Amino acid sequence: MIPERLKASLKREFHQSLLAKVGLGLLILILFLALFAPILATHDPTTSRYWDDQGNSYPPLGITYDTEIAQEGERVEYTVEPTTEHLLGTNNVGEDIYSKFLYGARTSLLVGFFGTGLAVLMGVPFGLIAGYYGGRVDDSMMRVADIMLAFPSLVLAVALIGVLGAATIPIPDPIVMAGFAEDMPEYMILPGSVTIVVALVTWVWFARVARGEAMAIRSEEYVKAARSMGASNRRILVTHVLPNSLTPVIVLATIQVAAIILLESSLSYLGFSGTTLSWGYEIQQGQAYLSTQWWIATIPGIGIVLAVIGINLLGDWLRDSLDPNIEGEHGG
Amino acid sequence: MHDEILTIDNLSTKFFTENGTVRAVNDLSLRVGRGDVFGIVGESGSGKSVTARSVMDLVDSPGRITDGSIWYRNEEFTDRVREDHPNAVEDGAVDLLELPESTRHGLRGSAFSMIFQDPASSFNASLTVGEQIAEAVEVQRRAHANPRSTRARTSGSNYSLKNYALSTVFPSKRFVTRASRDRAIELLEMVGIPDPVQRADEYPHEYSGGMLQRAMIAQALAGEPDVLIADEPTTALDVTIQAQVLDLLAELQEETGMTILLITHNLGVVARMCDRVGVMYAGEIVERGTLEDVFDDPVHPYTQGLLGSIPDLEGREGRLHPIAGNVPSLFEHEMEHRCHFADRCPKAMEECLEHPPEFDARGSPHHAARCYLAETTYSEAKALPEGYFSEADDPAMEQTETAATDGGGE
Amino acid sequence: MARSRSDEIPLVRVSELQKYFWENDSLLDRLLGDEPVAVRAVDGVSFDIYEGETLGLVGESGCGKSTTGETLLRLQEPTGGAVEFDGQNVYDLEGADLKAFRREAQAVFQDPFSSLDPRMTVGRIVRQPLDIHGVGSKTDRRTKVQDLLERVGLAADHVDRYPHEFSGGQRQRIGIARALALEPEFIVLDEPTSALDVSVQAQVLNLLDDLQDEFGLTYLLISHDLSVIRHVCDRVAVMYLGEIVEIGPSEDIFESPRHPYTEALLESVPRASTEERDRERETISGDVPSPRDPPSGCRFRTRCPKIIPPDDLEITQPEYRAVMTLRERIESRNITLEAVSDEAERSDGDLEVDSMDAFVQGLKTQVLEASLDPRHQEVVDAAIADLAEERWEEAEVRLAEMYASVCEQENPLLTQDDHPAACHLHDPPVIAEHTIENP
Repeated sequence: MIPERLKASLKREFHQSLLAKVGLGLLILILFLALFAPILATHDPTTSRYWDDQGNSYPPLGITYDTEIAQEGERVEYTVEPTTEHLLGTNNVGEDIYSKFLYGARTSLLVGFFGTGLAVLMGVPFGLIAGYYGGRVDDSMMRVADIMLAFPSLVLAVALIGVLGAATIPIPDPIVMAGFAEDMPEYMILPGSVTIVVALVTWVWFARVARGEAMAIRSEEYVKAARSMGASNRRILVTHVLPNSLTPVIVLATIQVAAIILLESSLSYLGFSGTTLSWGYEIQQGQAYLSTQWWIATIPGIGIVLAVIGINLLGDWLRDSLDPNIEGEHGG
Repeated sequence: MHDEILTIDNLSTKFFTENGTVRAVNDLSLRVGRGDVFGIVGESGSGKSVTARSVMDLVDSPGRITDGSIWYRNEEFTDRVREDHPNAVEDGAVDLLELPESTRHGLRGSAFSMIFQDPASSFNASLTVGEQIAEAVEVQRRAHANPRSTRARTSGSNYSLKNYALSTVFPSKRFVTRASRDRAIELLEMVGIPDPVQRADEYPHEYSGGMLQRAMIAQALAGEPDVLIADEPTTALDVTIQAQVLDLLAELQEETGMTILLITHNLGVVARMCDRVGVMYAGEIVERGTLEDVFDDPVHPYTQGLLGSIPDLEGREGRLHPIAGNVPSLFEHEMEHRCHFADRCPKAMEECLEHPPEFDARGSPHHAARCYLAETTYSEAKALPEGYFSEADDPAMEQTETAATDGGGE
Repeated sequence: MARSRSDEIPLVRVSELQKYFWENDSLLDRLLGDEPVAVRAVDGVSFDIYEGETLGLVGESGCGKSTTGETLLRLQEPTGGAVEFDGQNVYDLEGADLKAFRREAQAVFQDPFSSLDPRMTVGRIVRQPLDIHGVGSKTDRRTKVQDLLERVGLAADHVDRYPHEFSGGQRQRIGIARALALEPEFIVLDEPTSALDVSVQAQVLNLLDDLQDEFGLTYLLISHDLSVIRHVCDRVAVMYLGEIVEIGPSEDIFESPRHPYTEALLESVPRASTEERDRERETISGDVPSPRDPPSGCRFRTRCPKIIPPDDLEITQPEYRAVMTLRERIESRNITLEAVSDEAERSDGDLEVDSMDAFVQGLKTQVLEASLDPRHQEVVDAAIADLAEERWEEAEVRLAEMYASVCEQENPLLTQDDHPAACHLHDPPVIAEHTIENP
């Protein structure tokens, strides 16, 4: 399926680029964490446990901190000490940060991949049709796309969620179902509205890229040849235009996964996600405690940064090795 | 025999690519007399353009001249160089490959100028044509004022952003002087651009292809070069325009007495323009001589095949006699030490498995060919059996070489 | 070859075919109120192609020859005119009839790199037409593809390779195999060899020749290369700026061209022989005008070395050419007066009369290509003096009265004979008496 030349090109670029290796490493790591979250997690991320009855949370290993509590007019000072039971401590509502981090990776990647997939499914056919037919069809279709682009994506997303509501889709967790992990939530929560909304605000990019490709491919002689043989437009779109336009779409999709993860974090930070197991939501939760319990917000933040960097580096690698200008040129 | 303005000895230019070393030009020697029009003719991938670029020192990475010498004979230049680079001078000529890069680049425009196939991409679309030609004039004018300056002249502070910003405000800061501009207009007139005063202020996109090619010639003439290297100068043009441009080149050559190195794949253009011809194949000159030698009495079967492949405009003959097969691979690891044409040659013999040296051939003293047939006559007895090369299983060659027969017997 | 075929029914009959492209035609342009501009790529072209022959369509880039080929195959919708294939108008076909036409008429394209889909195997490329028309079973198709590849000089086991593994000539063979797959009657060859080296070009031309004999094919060969046209074609049509200027049997066109443009084209081709250097030839000056605004009358008149002066005018051809070029520039307002008047003022101070004189002289050296006989000198000077005062129309009219040519007033029609040419030199006797002398 993948041409030999492409494989060679991917390999070559991979060997030459340290960043590509870093990117792939990061993505594999996060995929691993997300996939095996129920096994790797130490606690159910939705249950609370405090360091004491004063509502103090556990700090991460190796960190102690002092906290003051006013009791009947006088201040009592505590020194809160970590426990090995909660590797990264617990948050303000007493949930295990480590376990939440793992489950947050799940949500981010789920939304990232499903959202991108949905955006591709919406944008690519739209763009291909506009670009291939051109003329009036193209004019009117792309004006719609331009209007979509004119809205700030976050504002649009918030507005759409306002209309749709923060619906979620529970998906049975296969690892828990198969009995590999006990005491873990039985369902993964896919924030359905968020997924649809991120797709709605990003599909335009796919439409634009696909349109550009379709316009270029339309004037290729092999398309002319297919038409002269009597191929229908639908056939040409499916057999010629679609396969030949995929390369830049794949590159864009990779980068959009990262962008969507960011967008999902923003939405869940704002509380539109519908699930509490999300990096953005965790940041929001920890925000108030930044001066004392800084790790509550910082750890999910690191998760977002690593995921986004990893995916972007991977996108760069794909772009470099798929670049048709470099591909297939031989000297001499 | 000292009137050879350009002598190339054993030049090799290679490209070091990831897939292997490409031998674009291999052990190539040629002599170009002062005032001659020398044609290098060959098919795509024969190395003709790389040869031209090697002379201009315009070979791009990953390419490099790996061997050989390029002798340029110009008394003034020789005297100037003798002091600084005594080992580059020999017998009144200078070996350009022994000079430092900056000195070599200083020769561009004044000694060698080049015109290219695609004039549209050779001009900057955002400057007027007149300005660009005047700039070339200015560069040469300044170089003349200070001939010892061997710095590459188009680089340096004249092109700084500051100067650019200043030049848009203060006319006096412009790089191009009034005198250069007038000269540019003169040059445009010389190459037959009607109404040059007005045309000088137009942008490249306002010119037609033929006009732009003329303008490029004008630009190349700015430094009054000794040698004009024309790389496929008319390939992108229609025949009626091609005829105009060829006439122009011939006229200019006659007027100025400059030497022209004409690179082309078109045998008709060669016949129209050239005194001497070199036929290139797989990075080598396989046959050279006067126009009559090569066209009327070709020795090398490749030359014969090339001439036999062109349909004749003057009369409709029967079938064409094409050369079988395809252009060979130039990857060093795939080239055997044999005549590189042997696998397509209708007269391949056992000798041909040994790489042939250049033999003198009948006709004028300039006539030479890299083919054993210049010395011996073809004999059936020594012929290689049919299919010899397709069976010699070279896995790397197999991909592109298989079974491209000439589509039917003769 | 010059047999008369008027009684035969042609396989393809093109009548008054027009194809315009529109510029400034987007929604935005409409809103801004820009008028669309027509680019007349093909402007009223008629010719017949008879079964088993090869018709050549030759011309320079931008003359509309490729557009004619594509419109003829209905890859583009025509602006006007009709194409009859086997007696049916191609543009009226729909559904099954159109599909049947697509089987009978095929095309081979110029660029061996862009004409094959890089993501398909060679086998799939050649099989594609069979798939589209649902010909035979899967195994039938595979055998057929292998046969075709062998027929065009490739190996049957090449089916699983990708196009990039082949050289230009081999790719063009693949394109030919694809065109042959449906066993068509008619193939449009659009510059099939212009991207190839000469030695490979000869291979492909020989192959095309063999295939024509073997399958009884009819070709329309579109090319800018006159030698290829001469070698391959039975009849030739010469195009210039969207029109056919001459059409006839190959021998006649090449041995005794009737249109000055055909003559000029033939003259311009450099021959690959040692006599070439001494061959006297007359090249034509100037560039092809824009098809957005083609010249009135005969479209070649702006470059024609044989343009016809009015009956009662005594003028040599170079003089007339110079005057006509000046007229064109005045009509298109394509003369800058500032530069000349600056110069005239500088050299002559404020002397009114002298400065006018200097202006006329200055402008004349700039815009006039030949020196004129005193009689014509006077008229031209007067016209240039008009320009000095920016009275463009007056200068225009002054020159038009004296020099208007039949070539600019009427578009010549193709003559009605075996070797039609569209040139006023070959008009019916009334005008033909005044054939000009070529100095």
